[in-house]
Amino acid sequence: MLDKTQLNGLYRYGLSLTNNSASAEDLLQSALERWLPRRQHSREPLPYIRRIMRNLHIDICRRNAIIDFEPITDDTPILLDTQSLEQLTIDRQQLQLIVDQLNSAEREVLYYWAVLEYTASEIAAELDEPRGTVLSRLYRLKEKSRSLAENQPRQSDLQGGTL
Amino acid sequence: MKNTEHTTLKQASQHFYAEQQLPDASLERFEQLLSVEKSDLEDRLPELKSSSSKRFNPSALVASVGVAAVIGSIWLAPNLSFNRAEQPLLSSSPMTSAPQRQQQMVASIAFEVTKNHIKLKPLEVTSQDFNTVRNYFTQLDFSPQLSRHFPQLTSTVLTMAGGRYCSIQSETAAQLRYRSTPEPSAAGPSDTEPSPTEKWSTLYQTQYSKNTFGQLPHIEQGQAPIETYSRGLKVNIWVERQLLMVSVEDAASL
Repeated sequence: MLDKTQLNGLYRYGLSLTNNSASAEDLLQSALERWLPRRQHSREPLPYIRRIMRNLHIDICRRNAIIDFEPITDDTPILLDTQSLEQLTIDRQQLQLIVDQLNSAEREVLYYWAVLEYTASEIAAELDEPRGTVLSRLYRLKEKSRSLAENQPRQSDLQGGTL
Repeated sequence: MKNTEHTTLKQASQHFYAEQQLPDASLERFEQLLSVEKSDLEDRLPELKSSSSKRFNPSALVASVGVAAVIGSIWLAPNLSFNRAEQPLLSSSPMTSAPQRQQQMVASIAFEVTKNHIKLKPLEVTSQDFNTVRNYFTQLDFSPQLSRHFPQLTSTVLTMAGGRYCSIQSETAAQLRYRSTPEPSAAGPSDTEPSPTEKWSTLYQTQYSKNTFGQLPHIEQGQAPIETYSRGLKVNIWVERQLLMVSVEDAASL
């Protein structure tokens, strides 16, 4: 069965998808309800529940016509040097701003990469997506983060209501 | 002057997500959900769902559709897998008459609301002011109303304590909890957690639909509420201002 740490971990994953605490809770609740009748058959519950949460969230985005998982085209740049992402520094206070700038797919890879410390290949395997897609999202994540970090003096303006 | 603390994106993200925690009440609710035995799941899922239904954003609604469909099929199945000793039969065979169907519906409502009443789950809004409590329910398709009939059901003094979202027969509902005291001077402070010595009355309100709930007495038409008992508690059911109202009272407060 799942303990509090695991539940909080799943909640954080839901938060990475939704960027909203209430929606993350609801997503977790719905996923648990779907997982419970099949729990005897799932050997690794956490990836399984995350998959349910992801599918539910994608369904919601589709129904609400929210494009949070836009297709990655061939000409989309990919992250060629993971070290540059590892070494990227920001002001800790900026992270919420960065998270707000990301879409679901980008927040999701941020969660896998930073919190679960998965490699791009591991993320791709977990999400059942091409590694190139994951690298593209990591690239965008890096670019958005870098852009915000460079515009740090404007953070106070952003907090002043222009968001 | 603004404090800046530079760190790597990865560390900042780890710190950021580590700070995000489920509220204690939600953790408790999830643990309760997970503790349900598989054999009891179908029985308790509607209740656990209703206890979690404090937010009705579209995402939650969509995400619940699948589960609701499964639950719906179970409820409508001729051979119910519920605990038959306790759970009133909900399905209506073609041979069931209208009065029998109404009896079944009344028993089902009473069974559901008394179960909620006994659990005394934490209030999501606490106030002695009805308008404050009413204003909390922004996700409903109706506006909770002060009932003219509810105070007449008891000889005790009812003090508004707060409310929370819930459901009646899968319809979104408001649960309004009142502290029931014999004397006005005996009323305690308005705290959020019930004391074991206090008595409580609960008034549930949801939008009334004849198709969903069957024919029920309308107070405005001079009809008397249906009075019944479930789990030893007194339950009154009526329609007032086109809202289905269901009251549950501790037996000792009657």
